Amino acid sequence: MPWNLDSDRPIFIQIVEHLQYDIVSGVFQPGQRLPSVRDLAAEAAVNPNTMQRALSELERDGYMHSERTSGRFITEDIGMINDLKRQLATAQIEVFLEAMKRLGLSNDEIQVLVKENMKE
Amino acid sequence: MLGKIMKHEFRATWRYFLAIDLITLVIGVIAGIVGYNVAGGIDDIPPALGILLILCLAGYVFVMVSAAVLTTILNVVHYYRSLYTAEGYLTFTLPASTIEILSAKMIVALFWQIIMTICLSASVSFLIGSFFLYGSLHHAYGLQDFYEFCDVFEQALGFYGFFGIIRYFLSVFMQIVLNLMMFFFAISIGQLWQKHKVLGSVVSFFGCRFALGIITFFVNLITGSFGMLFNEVADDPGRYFSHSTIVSLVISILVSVGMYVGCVLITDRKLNLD
Amino acid sequence: MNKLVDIKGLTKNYDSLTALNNINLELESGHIVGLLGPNGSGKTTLIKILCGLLRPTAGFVQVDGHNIGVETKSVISYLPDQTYLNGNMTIRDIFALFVDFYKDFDLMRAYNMLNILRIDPNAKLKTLSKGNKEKVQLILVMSRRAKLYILDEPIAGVDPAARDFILNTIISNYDPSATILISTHLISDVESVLDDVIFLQYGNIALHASVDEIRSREGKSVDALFREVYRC
Repeated sequence: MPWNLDSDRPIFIQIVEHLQYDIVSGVFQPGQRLPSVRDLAAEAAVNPNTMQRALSELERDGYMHSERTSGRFITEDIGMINDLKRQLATAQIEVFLEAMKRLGLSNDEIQVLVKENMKE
Repeated sequence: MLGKIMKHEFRATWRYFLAIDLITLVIGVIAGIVGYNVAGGIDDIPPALGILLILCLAGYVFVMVSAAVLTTILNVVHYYRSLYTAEGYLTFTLPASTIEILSAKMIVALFWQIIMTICLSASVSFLIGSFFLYGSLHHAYGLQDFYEFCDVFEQALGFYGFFGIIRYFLSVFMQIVLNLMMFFFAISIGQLWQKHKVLGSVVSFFGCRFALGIITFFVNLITGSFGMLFNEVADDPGRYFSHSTIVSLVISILVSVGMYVGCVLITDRKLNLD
Repeated sequence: MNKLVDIKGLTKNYDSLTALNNINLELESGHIVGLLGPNGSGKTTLIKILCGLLRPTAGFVQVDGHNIGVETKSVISYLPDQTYLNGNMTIRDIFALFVDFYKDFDLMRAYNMLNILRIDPNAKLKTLSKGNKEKVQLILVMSRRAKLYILDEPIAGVDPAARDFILNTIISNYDPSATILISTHLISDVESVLDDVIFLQYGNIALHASVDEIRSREGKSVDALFREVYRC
C-alpha cells in the first residue's frame, strides 16, 4: 500500500512526517526494529535515497538510532515520543483553529462546539 | 568475447542448418540407391518410368539448389536481423567491440556455408558414385572409366597435381567467402540510407555484383586470360581456367578483405539503429 | 570526481534535423534521474548515444571515465523501449546468455523475480503476453549489478498493476551506489521515485533539478511544472 503523498510538497518532508505519525501512533513501538530502507521505500513507493535521508533526519533528531549490524530501532525514550505527539497535535490544532476563525467563530464558541461534537 | 559470441550464434542457428544439411545428405543417399538400381537396368527401362526418373532427377537438382539458396538466405537474414533490427539493441549493447561482434557472426555464417557445400558435394557424389560402384561391381565398366571421367574434369578445369587441387579448393572457399561478404557489405551500405535501408542493401548488392563482374573482366583482359582461350598454338582450355581461377582468387581475396574492413568501419562509425 | 556520466557539447543531427543541440550534462552515482520530455525532444537519441547504438555528430561523452565502448557497455544495463529479444529463445536461454556476457548478472535474483510472477522459465518469449515480455526484459535489466541503468519508457502502455510491479522492481533492486536514468512522459507515475529530473526540449536541456527542489520552490509537482513548460 503506497503512502498517500501530496504532489505539491517536497517528498522528503512528507516521508519524515509520515514516519513521525507512525512512531507517535504506535505503528512502530518504542524500541522496535525498523524494516530496511529498501523495504520501507518499496512499501511507500518512493525513492530509497529519499527514504534514507528521511531516516537520517529522524535519527539526527533522536527518534531512532542505528546499531552497526542489527539495523535501525525506534527510540525507547517515551518522554521524547510524547513530546513529539504534543508537537504534532499542536500543529493540527493550529490549523483547525485557523479554519474556525475564518468561519468567524470566537474561542468560546469553538470550545462549545468541540465539546458538543465530542459527546456524540 | 569472440568465442562467446560464436557459441551463442551456433546455439541460435544450428537447428535450421543441421536440418537442411541432413536433408541433402539423406536425399543424396536415396538418390544413390535409386541410381545404383537404375544403372543395372538402364537398357530396359519402360518409357513411363524413364520420364518419372528424369522428373526425379530434376526434383533432386531443385532440392539441392534450394538447400544451397536457403542456407545463404538464412545466413543473410539472421545476420541482418540480429544486428540491424530490434535484436541489434541486444547485440550492440553486449560488452564486445564491433569487430568481435561482426567477425563472430561472419565466421559462423561461413562455417554453415562450408558445411552446406560439403554436404551438397557429398550428396552429388553419392549419386554419381552409385553408377561407378555398380559398374565396377558388375564389370560393366571399371575404375578405368572413372579415372577417365575425372581426367576430363581435370583437363577442363585445369587442376593437375597437388597445387592444382589446393588452388581449386582455395578458390571454392574464397568464392563462398566472397559471396557472403558481398551480402554483408551490401547490408552495411544499406544502413547508411536514412530510410529504406533494406532497399538500399538490395541495390548495393547488385551494384557490388556488377562492379565485381566488370573488375574481373578487365583484370582477365589485361593479364591475357582470354588470349589463352583463343590461342591456336596453346590450344588448351585448362590453361585458361587455371589462369582465370588465379585471377578470380586474387580478386576475391582482395575484395573480401576490403568488404570486411568496410563492414567494420561503417558499423563502427555510422551505426544508426531505428 | 564521481562523475558517472559526463557529456560536453553533444550534438546529433539527422540530415537537416537537430535531435540534440550542444548538450552538457553531468550525472553522479547514487541517483534516480527522470529524463522527461515530449516525443521528439531527443530523449531516445540521448539514450542511444549513451548505450553505443548511435554515434554522435559532435561532442564528448564518457560513462564511468571511459569513452563509449566495451568498458561502458559492461557497466550500463539498458532497457530499450521495445521488445528486442529473439522470440524463439526461451527465458532460460536468455538468462544463460546474460550470465555468459555480463559478469554482474545475478542469476538467482532473476529466477526469484521470475518465480514471483509465476512465469515458466522454459517458455519461449514469443508465447508470452506483451506485459510479461516487458516484465521479463525488466528482470534481465534489473538483475545486473550495473553502475548505470538506463530504462527507456519502462511504464509506457502497461496496466496499473504492471506499472506497480515495475516501479517496485526498480525500487527493491536499486543499489544506492548506482544511478538509474528513466525516460518517460508519464511523470506523475514515477515522480515519487525520482531524485532529479531533466527536462529535454527541442534537443536542449530546459531544466535539471531535484524533485524536492522543484516542489519547494514552485509549490507544485514536477508533473504540473512539466505541463506548464510544455503547454502548447
